Amino acid sequence: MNEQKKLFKMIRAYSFAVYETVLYLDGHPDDKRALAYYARYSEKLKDATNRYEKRYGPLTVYGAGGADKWTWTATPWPWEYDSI
Amino acid sequence: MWIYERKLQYPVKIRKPNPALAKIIVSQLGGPDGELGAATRYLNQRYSMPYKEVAGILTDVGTEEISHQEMIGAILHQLTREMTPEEIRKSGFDAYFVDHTAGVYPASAAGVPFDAKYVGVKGDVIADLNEDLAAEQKARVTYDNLLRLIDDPDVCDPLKFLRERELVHYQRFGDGLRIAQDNMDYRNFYGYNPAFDKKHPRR
Repeated sequence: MNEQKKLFKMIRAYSFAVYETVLYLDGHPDDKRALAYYARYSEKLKDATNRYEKRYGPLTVYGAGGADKWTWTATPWPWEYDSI
Repeated sequence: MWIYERKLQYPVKIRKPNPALAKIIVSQLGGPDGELGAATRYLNQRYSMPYKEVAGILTDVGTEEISHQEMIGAILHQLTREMTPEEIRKSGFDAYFVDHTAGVYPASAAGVPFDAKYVGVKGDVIADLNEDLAAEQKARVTYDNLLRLIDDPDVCDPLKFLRERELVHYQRFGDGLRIAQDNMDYRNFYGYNPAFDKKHPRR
């Protein structure tokens, strides 16, 4: 697995952990263990997302741009067979 | 507002196109218990939900359902790529193809277009949350049925993930119902009209 795929897989895992905790915290807003878990994994997610966007392109439109070519539409879309 | 994340919640990589499978999986986009109905149901129920924690559950589960529409869309798109006219005829995909080519159109497995009748919004806390609990179980059964009929692991893998999410969402709506009932008047044994007739003091 190349570096890009590895990092993307980590982002997917971290964002799953974070989102799962979001749903749980909505219904258990005082659960300290869940709050700590959320903080830990959202930090990991932020860090991995920053590293990915710097090297391979935007994951949200707020990370898009480009000096002479718009990066948001430059790579395959996620539903395509040949996407990352 | 919403912004788009350029990734599927769970990967979809289907090596072997198979329009016959697309014909039945389309129900989880536009069928009676599909993801389009789910997202629309939860996101529209939020406005009459008096308890902010439960409105959070509706917002965040509803948002996840949008990403499930995208996963089903990706499955349908990849199953119907590079089809020949002969494959279309032999697979039984011809009826769908005539109207929608290889486009992703929300309809049931029987070809009935998506209908807003699948979206239960009663504007009542107890009615809506029970609707949601049932909806998650019905969607889970539909995934069970698809998994009984399909044996390509590339297709089953994302379907199994989606099936598991129905179970988790059922748990979360259970949290929502508990919170709603904890906040109701203790004399309101029967859970009547807490969203409209009654003030809802918080405990």
